Amino acid sequence: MIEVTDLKKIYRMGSVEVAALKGVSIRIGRGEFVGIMGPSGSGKSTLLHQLGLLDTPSSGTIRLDGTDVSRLTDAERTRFRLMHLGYVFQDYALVSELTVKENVAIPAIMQGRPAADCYTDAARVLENVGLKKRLDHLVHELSGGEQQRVSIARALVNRPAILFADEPCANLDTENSRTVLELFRSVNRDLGQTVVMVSHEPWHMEYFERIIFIRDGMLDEDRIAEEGKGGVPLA
Amino acid sequence: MANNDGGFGVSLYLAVRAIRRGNRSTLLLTILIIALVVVLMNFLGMIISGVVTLYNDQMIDYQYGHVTLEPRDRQAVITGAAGLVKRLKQIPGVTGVTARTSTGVTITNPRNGKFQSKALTAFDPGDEESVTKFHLVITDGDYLSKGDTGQILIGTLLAGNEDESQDKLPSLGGVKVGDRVEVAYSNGVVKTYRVKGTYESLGALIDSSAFITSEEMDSVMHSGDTATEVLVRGSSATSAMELKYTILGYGVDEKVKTWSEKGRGILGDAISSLNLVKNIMTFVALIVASVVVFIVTYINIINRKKQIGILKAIGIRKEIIVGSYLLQVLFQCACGIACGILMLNGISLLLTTYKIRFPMGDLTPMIEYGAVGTSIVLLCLVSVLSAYVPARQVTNEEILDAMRG
Repeated sequence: MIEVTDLKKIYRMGSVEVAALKGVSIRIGRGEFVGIMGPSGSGKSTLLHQLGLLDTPSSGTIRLDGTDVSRLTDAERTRFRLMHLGYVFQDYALVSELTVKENVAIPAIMQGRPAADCYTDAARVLENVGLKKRLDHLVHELSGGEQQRVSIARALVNRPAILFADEPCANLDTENSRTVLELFRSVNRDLGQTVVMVSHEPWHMEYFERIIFIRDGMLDEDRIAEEGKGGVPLA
Repeated sequence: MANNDGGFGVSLYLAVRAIRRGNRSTLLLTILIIALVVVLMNFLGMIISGVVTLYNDQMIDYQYGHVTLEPRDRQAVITGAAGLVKRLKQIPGVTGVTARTSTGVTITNPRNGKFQSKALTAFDPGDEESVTKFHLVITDGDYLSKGDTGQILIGTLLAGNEDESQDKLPSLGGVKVGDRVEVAYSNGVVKTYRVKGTYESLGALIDSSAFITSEEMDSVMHSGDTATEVLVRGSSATSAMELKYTILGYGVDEKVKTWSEKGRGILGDAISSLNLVKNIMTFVALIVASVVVFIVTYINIINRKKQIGILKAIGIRKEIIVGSYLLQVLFQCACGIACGILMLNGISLLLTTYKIRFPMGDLTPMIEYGAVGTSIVLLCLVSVLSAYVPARQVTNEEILDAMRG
């Protein structure tokens, strides 16, 4: 499903080069619920951004569902994101001028499907995340937890191959965080959805099937062996 | 990879919602600015068109008719004028013909000794009525009648006022109907005339003229069956050229000119200069519009930079995002243009009710919809370009940079 080989990401800040990823190689199988954890600045979000095609690595290869995405053009990457990937961001990242239903439907509409079908699908997914009564609300009328659930519904509406979540609970209280994590667990178990989630909260570990620890831009092999729930990343 | 996405539909979808739920005051302000630009681009043109129309009407209705016949080269007068008038009246499309004879005279008001040197024109009042409109603009007394002798028709500006400060042009210092004026002809004859009527066309040149009947002129100047010009009226101003060629086709030997050919030199330079000013104003207005649209779109896009990043992240192509901004700008342009045209019509109505007085009369503004159409196309092009540049710039940014805002 996801095969990453010797992935490096170097940021240039003027004449200074900062290596955010220093050669990461991992493999994630279909239907896994994987957590990427590590301290602040360890490179976990950078890794997720490379996997999710939101950023371009400096070197290394990424294969998603058999496609070498490193070779895709910018337009092809956009298309790949639309057709195969779903995202949940820390700050919900919803479009303020769209209603809840429209926010969820827009990736489906973008695929060229009839708007009525897209709205039906959006309503169904929103019902699954417990927002059936909020379909026509604007996002600013929702609580943080509800907004994040809209974000999850949007990520799921196109039935993506992989769902990426970048610290989705960072702005939520414990109760809402649990709701969101339960949702991820539910779609992973019930739908076989592959989920890759970045988190730095230790109590989130109980939800992950497997954990990839990152430290200083590299895999934290010792911690993976110790706390990674047995899953050994591809070396 | 197949590309079967929503394309334009998604741009429209996003644009409609951004307009409906976006910042209303920014939207209204932008529409207002575009409306004012439309007004700015067309206001001077509207006035110039009004001036041109007014001037053309004055020329046709008081000076030249639709077509004017003049003496041939090296001839001072048209001979056989009566026969010519008769022949012209029989030409299809001709609705009126009048032969005029003009001569230089000095008109003196004996009460105050004021005098003016003018061209005194003679005509057959009946024929003249069929071509010009002097008979309709009599302000005091009466229009000339066929066979009138010893009577003169004087324009209000030439008649003037006893209080010189009220005169717009040099005058006779307050001549009224029934007063006597002395006319000194070039042949030495000095004759006293009773002022039969005064007229006011509102045209400065026209209202400082004087007229007598052909019989009166003949009695003094022995002009006989001659004329210095023959005016012809046709069915419309626009068909004057056609009428000219019809007249020429009937074997008329005199010089035949349309009203526009006659009047070209007098106001032509002024109109050209005004048109230049109008074009400069249009150019400046376009720059103002493009800068405003650029700034508004740029601020709008910068404020929504994060959302653009989000849309790109979830797989919306940047062309579609740019398209949604262009559609928003086109909507703003459409509303602004509609408001601008309404404003122009409002201004036109206002200036028609409270007229602006020009030397050739009261001006009625004329909206040139052809020019308005051109300005609309230019405005839309400039606005779309001004919106495209910042939209393209921001959508070209990296997704993560855009999402950081």
